Amino acid sequence: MLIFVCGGVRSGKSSFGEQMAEQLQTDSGRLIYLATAVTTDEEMQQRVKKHQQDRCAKQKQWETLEWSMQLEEAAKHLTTDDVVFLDCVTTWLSNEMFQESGEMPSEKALKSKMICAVHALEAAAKHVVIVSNDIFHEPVSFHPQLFRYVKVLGELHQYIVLKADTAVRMECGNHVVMKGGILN
Amino acid sequence: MYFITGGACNGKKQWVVTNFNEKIQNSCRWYCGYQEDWTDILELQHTEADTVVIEGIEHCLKAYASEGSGRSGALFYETFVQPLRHWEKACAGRTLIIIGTDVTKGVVPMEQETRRFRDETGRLFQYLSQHANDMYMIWFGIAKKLL
Repeated sequence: MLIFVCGGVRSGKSSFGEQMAEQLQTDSGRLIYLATAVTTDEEMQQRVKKHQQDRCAKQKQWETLEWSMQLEEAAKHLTTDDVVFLDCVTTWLSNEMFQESGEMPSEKALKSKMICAVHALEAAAKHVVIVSNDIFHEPVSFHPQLFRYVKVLGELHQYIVLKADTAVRMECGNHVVMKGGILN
Repeated sequence: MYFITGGACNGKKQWVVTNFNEKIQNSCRWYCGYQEDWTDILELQHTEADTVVIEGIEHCLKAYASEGSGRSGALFYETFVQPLRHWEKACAGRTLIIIGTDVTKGVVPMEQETRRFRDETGRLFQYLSQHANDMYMIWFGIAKKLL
């Protein structure tokens, strides 16, 4: 099953997505946190630490896989009973799009690569919960790279929602089910 | 009048193409605000097509508002949308579809002109919502009917 959770900053999307993942876990499978963030500064380190502490405080046991790009490779470390929580598409796309080498993949190549990775994760695990940010409600930048980023992210979201069994929009800590259903 | 809104790159255009396919195929003037001159909106009321689609109305408003401080969303509605409402009502079978990207929810922009554009877009969208027969919000390809 593929689940998509999207909302603004501090809308509770990670917390809600984690809850969903925990509910979907079975005795035979693991709970995998697939972290895409790269810690480039102290603020980011603090954010990562906060997420890690939150997960440690939970009753359920989480395993973390850190994979900033080429998530299809991460799929090789999964079993078909695992529940994967991917946090998040926004950082993953930044990592794929703005590479240190300066290499600039085409929009088509990027989308196709990331879509293949989503399919690989879906095929490798029992359930995949994907979290992403809603960054689409402000004047669109004319900066070419930023415009490209927004466009590719929007198109990826459209594709994931199309393929998802469940799609949820987060608003101020509340979830709005836009597609499919959720467990109680 | 149909008013279709939602965030940028959320599939609004594709939703209109899919859901109004027959009208668009038959007789349609598709005006793209991102590519065409905003003043051409005034010409749309003289079209011989049965369906008029305005894509990117917020972009037209931006160009319009940048040319004078008194140019508001209200005035834009009166000057450019109202004539098209009359055009639509004048003859059975005519349809007006307006697509606008919601740009009103981000951080307050640093530039005054962008702040004003955002404010006036919010106001214009309220007018469009008040006068639309149907209004849909598109979220990554999924439509939610608001009116």
